[in-house]
Amino acid sequence: MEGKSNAYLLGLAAGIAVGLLAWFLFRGKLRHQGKGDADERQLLVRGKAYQIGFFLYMAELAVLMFLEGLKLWVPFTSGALYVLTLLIPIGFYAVYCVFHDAYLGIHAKWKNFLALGLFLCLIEGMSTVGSIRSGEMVVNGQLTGKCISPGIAVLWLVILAALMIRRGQNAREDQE
Amino acid sequence: MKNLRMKAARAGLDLSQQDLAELCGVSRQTINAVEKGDYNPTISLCLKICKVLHKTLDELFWED
Repeated sequence: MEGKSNAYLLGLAAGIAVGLLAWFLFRGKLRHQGKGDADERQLLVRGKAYQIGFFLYMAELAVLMFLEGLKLWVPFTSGALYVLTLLIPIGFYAVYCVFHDAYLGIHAKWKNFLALGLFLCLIEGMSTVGSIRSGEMVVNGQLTGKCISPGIAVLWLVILAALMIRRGQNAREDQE
Repeated sequence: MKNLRMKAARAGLDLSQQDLAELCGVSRQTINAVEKGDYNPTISLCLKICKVLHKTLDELFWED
């Protein structure tokens, strides 16, 4: 048991280190090439989406605290509830930006993003299956914090679906 | 309010919205929003558009 825990922590640390290194190198490369990300209109839209999402999250937390005070039984553990309430404003931010053409930056490649999103859905789906089979997803009739994996998978699917819908709308838009 | 002068100037140079967007360093949707009057560009973007379309600020963005 201790050996497994050490291996898990080591793997987690290694994954975080690799991710940080990749992010650092990727950001540095973009800056060197002088490529921007979002234009001025997109930045405004993102700011507006963030503002609404932030207040949405605050409202959700207030409702959660009120419900916790009532001590009603719900089919979620407190960890699951806080995870799910975090995913909702994130999803709102993403979908708002998508439908205002501010989610993907100027130089972002749609196909690369689609591939990334599908890959992450697959990874989270596999994690979900693992959690369900190990019995960690539902404990004593309540959904646990392990629901973050299916939650993120659903979030990515929603974002990808919104992107495809918006692409269809843009294709029909009159460009003349 | 729609910016028909900008649209006409762009058409006069046979540029698509995508072409103009790339020359100005913004997204096509931003150019579309400016032409439709849904977005007020900053002075910086206005100047870039004027430079590409060979027009002055008054000719493209001054409201009569």
